[in-house]
Amino acid sequence: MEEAVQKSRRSLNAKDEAEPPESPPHVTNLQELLGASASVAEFKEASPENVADLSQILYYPSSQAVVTEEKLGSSGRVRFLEEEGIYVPTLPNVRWKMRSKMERRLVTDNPANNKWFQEDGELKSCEEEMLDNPVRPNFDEENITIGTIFKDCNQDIESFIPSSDTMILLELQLNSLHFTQHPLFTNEHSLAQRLTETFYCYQKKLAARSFERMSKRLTALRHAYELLRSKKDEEMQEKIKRYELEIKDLRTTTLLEGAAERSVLSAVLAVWQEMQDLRERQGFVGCPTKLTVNQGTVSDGRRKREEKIWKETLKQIVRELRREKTEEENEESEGPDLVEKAAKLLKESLKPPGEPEMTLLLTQDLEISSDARSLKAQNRLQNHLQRQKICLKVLYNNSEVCQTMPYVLDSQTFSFEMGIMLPLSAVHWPQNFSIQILEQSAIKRTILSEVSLPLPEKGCTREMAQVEKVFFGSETHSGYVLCKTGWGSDAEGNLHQPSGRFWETSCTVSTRKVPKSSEELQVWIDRSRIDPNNPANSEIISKAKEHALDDSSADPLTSDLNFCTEAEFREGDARLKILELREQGHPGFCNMKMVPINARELPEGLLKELKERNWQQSRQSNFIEEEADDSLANHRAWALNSIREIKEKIQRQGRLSSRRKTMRELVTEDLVPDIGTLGLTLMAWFQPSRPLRPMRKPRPHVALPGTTALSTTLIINVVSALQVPTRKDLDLEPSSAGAFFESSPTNATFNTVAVRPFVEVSFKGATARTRAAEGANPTWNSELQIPIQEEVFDHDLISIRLFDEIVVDVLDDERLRDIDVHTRHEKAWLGAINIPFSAVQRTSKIDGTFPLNMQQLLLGYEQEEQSRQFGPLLGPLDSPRGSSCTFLNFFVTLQPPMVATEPETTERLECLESSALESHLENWNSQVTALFSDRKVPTLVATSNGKTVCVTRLFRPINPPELKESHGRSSAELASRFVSLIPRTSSSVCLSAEEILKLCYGDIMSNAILLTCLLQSLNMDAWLLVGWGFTRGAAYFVLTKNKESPNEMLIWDICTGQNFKLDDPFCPATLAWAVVNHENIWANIQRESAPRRMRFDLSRASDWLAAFAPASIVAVPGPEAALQPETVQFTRTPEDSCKELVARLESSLKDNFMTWRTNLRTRWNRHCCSVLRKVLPILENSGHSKKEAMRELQPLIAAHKMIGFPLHLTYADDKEVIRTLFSTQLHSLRDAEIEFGIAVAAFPYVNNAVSLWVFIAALSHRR
Amino acid sequence: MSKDVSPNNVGRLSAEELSSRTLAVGGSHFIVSVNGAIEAADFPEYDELYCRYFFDYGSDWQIISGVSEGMSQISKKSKCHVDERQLCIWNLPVELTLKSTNISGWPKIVVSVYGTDTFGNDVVRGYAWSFVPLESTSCTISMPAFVPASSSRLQEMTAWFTGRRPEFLNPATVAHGESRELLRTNSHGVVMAKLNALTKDLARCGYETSSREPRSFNLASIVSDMEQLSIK
Repeated sequence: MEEAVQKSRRSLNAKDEAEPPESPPHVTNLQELLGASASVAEFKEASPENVADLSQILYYPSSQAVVTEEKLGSSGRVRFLEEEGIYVPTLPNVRWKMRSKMERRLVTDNPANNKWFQEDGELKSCEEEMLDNPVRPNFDEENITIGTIFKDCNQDIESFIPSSDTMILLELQLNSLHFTQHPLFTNEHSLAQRLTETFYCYQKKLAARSFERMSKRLTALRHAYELLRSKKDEEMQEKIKRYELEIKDLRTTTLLEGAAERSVLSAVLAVWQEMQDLRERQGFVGCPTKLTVNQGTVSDGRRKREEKIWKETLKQIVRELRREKTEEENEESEGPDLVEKAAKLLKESLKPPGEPEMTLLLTQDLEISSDARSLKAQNRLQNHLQRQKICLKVLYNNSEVCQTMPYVLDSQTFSFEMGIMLPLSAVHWPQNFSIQILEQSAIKRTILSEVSLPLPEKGCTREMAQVEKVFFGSETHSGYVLCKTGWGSDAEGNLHQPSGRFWETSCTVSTRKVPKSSEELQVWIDRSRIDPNNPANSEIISKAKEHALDDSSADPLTSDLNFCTEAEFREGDARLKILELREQGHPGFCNMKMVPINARELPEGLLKELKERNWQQSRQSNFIEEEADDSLANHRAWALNSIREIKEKIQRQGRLSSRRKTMRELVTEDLVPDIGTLGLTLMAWFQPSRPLRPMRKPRPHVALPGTTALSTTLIINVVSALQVPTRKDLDLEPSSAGAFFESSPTNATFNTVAVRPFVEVSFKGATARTRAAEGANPTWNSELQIPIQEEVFDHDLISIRLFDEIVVDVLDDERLRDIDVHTRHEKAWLGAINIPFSAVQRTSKIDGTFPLNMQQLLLGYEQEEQSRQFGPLLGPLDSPRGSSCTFLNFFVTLQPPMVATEPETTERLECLESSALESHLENWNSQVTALFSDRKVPTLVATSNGKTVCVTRLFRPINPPELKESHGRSSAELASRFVSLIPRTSSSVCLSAEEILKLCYGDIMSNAILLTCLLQSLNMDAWLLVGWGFTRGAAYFVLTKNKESPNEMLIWDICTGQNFKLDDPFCPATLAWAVVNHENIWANIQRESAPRRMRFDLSRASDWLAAFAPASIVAVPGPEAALQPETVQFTRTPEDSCKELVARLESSLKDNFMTWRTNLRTRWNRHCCSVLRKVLPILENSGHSKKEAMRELQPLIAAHKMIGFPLHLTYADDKEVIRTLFSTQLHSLRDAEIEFGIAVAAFPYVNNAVSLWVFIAALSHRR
Repeated sequence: MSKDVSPNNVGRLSAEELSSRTLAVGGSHFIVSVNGAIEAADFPEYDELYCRYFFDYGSDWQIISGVSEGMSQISKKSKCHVDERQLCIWNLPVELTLKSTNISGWPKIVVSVYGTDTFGNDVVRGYAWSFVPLESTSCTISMPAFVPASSSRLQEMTAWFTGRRPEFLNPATVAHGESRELLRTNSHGVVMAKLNALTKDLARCGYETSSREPRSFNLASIVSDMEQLSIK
């Protein structure tokens, strides 16, 4: 106290020195602080006496505990709420000195007021002033008062090392291990085991002496009963009744008990007998178990006594039985019957008189016989046991502490002695103390079982503890370990055992087995109905409360710490959602790049799509199930969606399986070579060194990220065209233009120009065109360049279109004709060809002459006879194309050439085939690739269920649909036309015929397979032709051979439905790599791969490499394994849906057409429309002749000049049709007088396939 | 059918087209610029080494300038008495600037070192990688290198003969953690590089890379603050 005052004085002095003494406010402050009137000046000179005075001024609460009465005041009565059963929460721990100081202050400050104290005299305090979770306050960044102080860790490290006081010393003594069940037990052993078990049972029964006790009780009861009866009291009647019942119960139980005892005894004897028999049979003794039976002789007197007792009991029982009988029903009671019954009962449970008393003794000291047979058997057993050693592992809190040496089991007793004393010192309290019993053979060790050891009682040392039998057991092994545990003590004799709290928790909690998880805990609380107000249970209750809190997370402070809830995460941020989907590898998002950092920067469309996806997923189940309504457009959309979903599913599966990589996929490593290559390599060492010929092994090309099509240029060199149709009586502006052409002398030839064709190429919205050349066989030789700005995909089309440039003179003033030239260029569509980008990318160039996809009827144009001079050069004359087709010679390439990186085949799907077949096909495929690396042959294809199958399983003859009118087409042509009308999308999945027909949507490969199946049923051999089309990219065709005329082979194109002869130079299948049917896969190993230069004799092994050779081990999957259905149900396409489609398309095409003609009026000629509508069925039905159609159109042509053409389309969706119409550019005609006619027709085939025709024409009146 | 089908984009965006779109072309992003050099390698057992390097980065990253890969000259160690350190010096400059919207996939530099073996075969000597520094700083990094080991003794021997040691199909494997459990590797040496990184707009995107230095409030600073105030 003095020191404190001195301190304060010192500080005061310091202050006085620092500041001038005449600063009054400070002094008053000090005075107030002290609460004294003494001035500072006085204080400065305070002597020790004055300090004593100060102690009167200052109040120091003493730290002595305050008496409870004092706290509660005079009125208060001490109440202990806890004792009254009211729940009292645990109060925060405050040091008693502090608490009593505080209490003292409160009491002296305001003695009357007892609002500070509870009724039991404790300070009122909050129940939980500490949060369960540590919370860090959100400090202001600028707040520098809080900072982390560096502290060297070395100083504190000692505190973490537990002192020897808190260490626990646990001693374990392992005595021995005995097996009661072991796979190597002989018959004798198992009998011995049974004997031991029954003997223990017997011993237990004997020790319990329950029969003796019960019979004594029975006697006593009978005695009491007799006594009662002798009184003959009326009131006692009730009591007598009860006694009778009791006697009856007790008697039966006593007799049962006796019977049990006797049966155990007889069981022991029986097992012993059996064992003796066995030993006699086998002729030797294999285990030392022995039962000694001692029979005491019975003296006469005793025998008589026993007989007497027997009789008496019998009599007694008979009497009782009779009494019970009469009470139940007064029927005829047969005395002798009852006697017999009683005797029987008694015999079962009581030793008959005269039978000698037996004492059994089980010992393990029988001599093991040592003759040859016995030794042999024992040696064998011993050998086995040698190999299976047993060792024990001691685990403390689930971590291994030590392991014993392996022991060999004794072959006679199946046990071993250990005698191990294991002292164990631990820091942590024991939670789990167990041993593992391991079987250790030469190769492996197996855990036979794990069993937890009992922890010693509090204060129990090893010396005090009892040896315990710890039983273990598994399916094959069981046994027990004899051991004892105890707490150890150090040299000074202090017992090192867990401190007090361990016993509390382990006693209350572990004995009651409080479940861990919250639900279980709640259930347990409900079931065991513990008192929530009991302070002993408060821990459990608060735990349950915690769990409840965890669920609802109602704690405001904890919720502050949560980053965001799961629900918010799922609903809220679109960016996170996208990132999550990308991480999961969702096909729609997996390749997305540069996802914006803020959700608000996401593009609108993406958000919409995200929402759509969510919506779709929510109703996906019924979306797939329910078939779309009648509308064809909806059906197509549904089908496309389904295919996309299948594709996504398979992609996802592939991704999943590709995550588990093999080492082969990570590391390239040469396989162990055979001796030949090894020899060569060694030889190379001894070869003369040739420094001028450096050898460098080629490194496998590694695709580095960043190689894309970006920044390359698409170069199209348009060379020439052949057989361009020429104008026929087309003159849109006859008066003026004619005058112009005639008047100018230079245009004399110009006038005779039949056609001014030019080529326009468009790719991804960018277009380039050549200049206009003249004549039916023009030559341009012009190079067009289209820089690729965006990312490109395989299915992007390069569209090359041929137009006729019509020069229209629009000069108004004839007088200015000499000086002014005012012309307008119109274009008329003549034909087009579309090339997928993949075709260019893979082969790096396309070069050649290709037929244009022209329509049969081109109003206003016709092919001149003299221009057909090239016909014979271009193909066989009988081919429909040879005479009436336009050919375009061009060259397409990419500059700089793009690295055609083959997609790595990381996607490995589960294979349905046997592993032998799978590996065989892979081997075969690698053989083919070794020969011709560019020829890709499909062997295992993915099906819609996400598994790969051998491609041959997809073939099986299917009857084609029966169509009403054939119109002169053969059934094969009809089938081909039908398949060509099924729209295609790109997918890597092979759909079965059933699936294609149900969806009416397929892909190139599946459609080709379908056509093969259909053609196979039509008296011809059909194969799937795998190859390459210059204008198609990787493509699939159908190859057929007529059975009647085997030399005639045809290639069917599934995109157009046309067929080509093998020698046709314009066959779309430019390269043939393999043919497949249900029997085999043949890879083309001829040098040539163009069909017209190939031999198609599949039996020639030098030309075709078959996957399944006849002598091969692996057989092709039989026809029964085919995945295709035997028959396919064809359904009629409803007429209504066709009508609806036509109506909708017509109006939408008209609308679009008018919007494309901005600032121009579009007039529709109704008459023309109706005529065109009549023409379309003729076109649909009459293969290639256009005469009939022309006849129909003749009146119209007579009155009008017309340009126009029909477009034949495979209906996929409306947009496709609109795009095709747009690409013809007919809407760009700007003549004011011009009128238009449009007609749409849809001809239904089965299963929603439609042949769609659009006839568009522009016409102006002839004057 | 809506009327306003613009002919140029009548096509529906296909799934792939949609998925590999590059979003956030003009949105907020941050920029990380790396420059420095792959200076040297310390492979005590081997000589005549050259290296290839490339940067591996996540899908939200985009190169705006510089090259992401390169290859060094073949460097030979100098004689022992000239240079005791026995280093292969490349001094291969590295310069790259990337922009990104997501710190996940922060660029890593992957260096693979090659050399010739006794038979003159080109074999891989080590793969090493390191993160580009995560804040604007300059640091010298030493990257330990390893090569995949042969899967058996016999293959090790044949690999020695044929000169085709096991190597990664894709060196980017070393920059990623997955399926490492399949590998066994031999460690061979250390590649040393000096990398300077410069970040821009990281804080604007909400990332905090370096802890702000706590201002020390000592007496002098307070006095100087006070003086400034009084001047005003």
